[in-house]
Amino acid sequence: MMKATRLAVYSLLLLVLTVGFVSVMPVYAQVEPFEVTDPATGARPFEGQELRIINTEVVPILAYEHEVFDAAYVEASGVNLIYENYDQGALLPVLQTMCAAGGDDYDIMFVEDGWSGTLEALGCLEPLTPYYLAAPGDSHPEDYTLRAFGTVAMHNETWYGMPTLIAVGMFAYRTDLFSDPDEQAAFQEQYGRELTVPESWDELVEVGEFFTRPDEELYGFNYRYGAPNNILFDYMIHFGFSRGVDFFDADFNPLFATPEAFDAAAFFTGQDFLNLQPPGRESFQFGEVLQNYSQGKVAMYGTESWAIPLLLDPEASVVADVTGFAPIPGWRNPETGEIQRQLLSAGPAYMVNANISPERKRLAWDYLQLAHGQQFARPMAEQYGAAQRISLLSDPELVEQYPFFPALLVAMNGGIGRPSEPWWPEAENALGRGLQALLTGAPVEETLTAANDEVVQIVTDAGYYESGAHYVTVEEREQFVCDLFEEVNVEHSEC
Amino acid sequence: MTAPTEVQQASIQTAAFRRWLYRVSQKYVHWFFIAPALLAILAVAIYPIVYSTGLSFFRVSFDSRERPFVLLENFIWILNDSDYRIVLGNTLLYVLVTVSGAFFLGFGMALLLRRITVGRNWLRLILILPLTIAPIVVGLTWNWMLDPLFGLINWILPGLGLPPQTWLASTSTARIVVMLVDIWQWYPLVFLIMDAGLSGLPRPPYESARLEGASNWTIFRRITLPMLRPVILVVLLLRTVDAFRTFDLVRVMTDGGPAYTTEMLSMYLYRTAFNFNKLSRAGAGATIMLIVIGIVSALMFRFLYREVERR
Repeated sequence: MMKATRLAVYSLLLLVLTVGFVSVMPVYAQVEPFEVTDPATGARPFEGQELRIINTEVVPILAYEHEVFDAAYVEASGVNLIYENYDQGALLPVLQTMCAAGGDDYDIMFVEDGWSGTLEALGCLEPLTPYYLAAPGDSHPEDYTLRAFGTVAMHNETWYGMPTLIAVGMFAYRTDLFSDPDEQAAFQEQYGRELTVPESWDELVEVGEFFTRPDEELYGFNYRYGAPNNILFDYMIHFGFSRGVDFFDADFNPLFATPEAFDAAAFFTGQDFLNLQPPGRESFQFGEVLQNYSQGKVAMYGTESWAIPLLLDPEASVVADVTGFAPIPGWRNPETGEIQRQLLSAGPAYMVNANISPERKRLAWDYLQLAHGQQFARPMAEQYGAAQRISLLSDPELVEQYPFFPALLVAMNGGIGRPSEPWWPEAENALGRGLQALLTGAPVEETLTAANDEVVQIVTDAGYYESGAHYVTVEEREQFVCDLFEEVNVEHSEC
Repeated sequence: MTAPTEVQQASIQTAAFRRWLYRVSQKYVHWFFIAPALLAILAVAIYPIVYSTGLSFFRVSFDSRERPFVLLENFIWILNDSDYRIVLGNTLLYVLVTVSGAFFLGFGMALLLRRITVGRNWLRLILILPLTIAPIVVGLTWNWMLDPLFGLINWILPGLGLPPQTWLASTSTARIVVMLVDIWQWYPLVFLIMDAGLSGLPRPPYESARLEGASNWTIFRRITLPMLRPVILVVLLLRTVDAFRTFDLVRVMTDGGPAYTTEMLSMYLYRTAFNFNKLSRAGAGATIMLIVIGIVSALMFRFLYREVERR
């Protein structure tokens, strides 16, 4: 009897330990170690196979990546890339439709950070941790800043993608105008101070006023107002975050009806500010603001890092040789006198379709670890000035070639990601339209409060308040990344 | 009389079968010829309409595989949505202005062309050129021409003593400009149909009217217009249905802005379905749109056939 009891107790203990152990293990299938393409050794385990990629080249840097990364991967691996390029607006519906149907039409998908929630809910995203553990290759995920990686490559705690583009707010300006002795003297006379690249909003307005000369077809700066998500991006990237505005609090209550939000919106959409921008500003989207700066019509341009290669391309910009970059101006706190800066971090990653076969998933990982790995990233940085990895942004040779790289690294370390909930596009539209209404003279507080209430309704309809959903803060995202790195045994200086 | 042999019986039965087959085929042969087209319409048009209407009674979105039945919830939501009412108003105004504008311009061109004898065919070719361009290309081209800094229009205006305009950025001009571009693109369709209609009118009534001393205006009002009524109604119906579905031109030129002034129903439904993941709400909106277009079309058909039957 004693023996039987002991046996029962030990069995029960073993059961409890097993269940406990299994429950804390990551919920994904294990992947056996496998060989990946390695140019150093000449290994080409996937030679002759086809890999299907669905992509968009909505911004030129993505086309450059296709030129550099994909060509190098094809040469190294012998894999045939079947590449389908969609308009960005059409890409998400294609992905959603495929994922809803459990389709395996594509192996690799271009997924913006704001889309990952939807696609994860449809069970379409393959976690990458098992593949890294099986064959890390040249991926080096630790070579990204925590905030950038957490925003673009992960959805909450799960690693799904390799970043293909990390967009952070940057400030472009005409070095020829700022360094011109006549301009400097005139500015000094008018404003009683030295002409410098603005660091705060009030300096931005002063310098913008100075350079707004419609008769000479020159304006101070330009921002995007033409589409709801564009205006929201520029509002948040360049003004909202630095003024202390955020998307949501920890309980998913939107924060667009705060005094800080009203103040930033009134500044950004005020007529005085609009008058320093080219005519037609109310309809500017990506293309127009880029075009206006590239054609020498504006002195300063609140942009995103993805635009840098284009701004430095002499074939695309008449002012490529006289363009400099600086951190975006911040809000000067009147009480402390300090300049507060915060900006948005966003971008797409290449992710693996969970509906494809295990063999194709290994092929997909092979592509991700090498094509978007560390060694191929260097030619891209050298040729186009486009870099996202810490090692490149802090490389002395590259910094000498591209002096803005340190500023870009600072920006990537400080970026705040946008929500990636499935309902975020609807909320983004409501907030963006509210901001657009301000351009027509609508009262700031009333309009933003209405937009805020609309977002509350959207979140309510999604059942988030009822279920007590928690909004992942930027610090929590960093912790998710650190937890991931600990799990895969890599070190990161920020963890 | 002897009973028919087996062979004779078989022969009689075969002949009877053949007669029956002939009668049936004569009665239903037209179905045989239209069956392929009918099947295609069922598969490509009817089934999607029925399916999307059916979706409207469920809650379907891309972020969940559950599809609960919600009866009229989506319809109530859409009809209560202030944005839907705004875009419906925008669309109705757009339809009214662009259809009537294209009609008057196209009909006017067709009437003017009757008076030209030299080079009429070349002129006809030039007049229909806008129709040959894809709406997206039309939108992009006009976008560039209307650009406030680089556009051709604003380059010409100062030479005429007029100030440059922000055509697509101003709430007061964007809507009008988009409508004018639409009229520019689609008046050739009206022109072609009305030109064909005018060419098919009989001569005797005109000869009689002239002999009796009728004025040109009287001839137009009492003879041309009544005889052209079926053609006019067909062209109005075609343009109305097309105008309701406008998407590409507005999407390219203004994307619904500024401040929602050019947002069309089709764009609103597209965003609701594919940007906001609310498939069934978009289905409800599309069903309502289908009903509205159906009512308009039914009224026009009724008027058309009543006029034809009266004559």
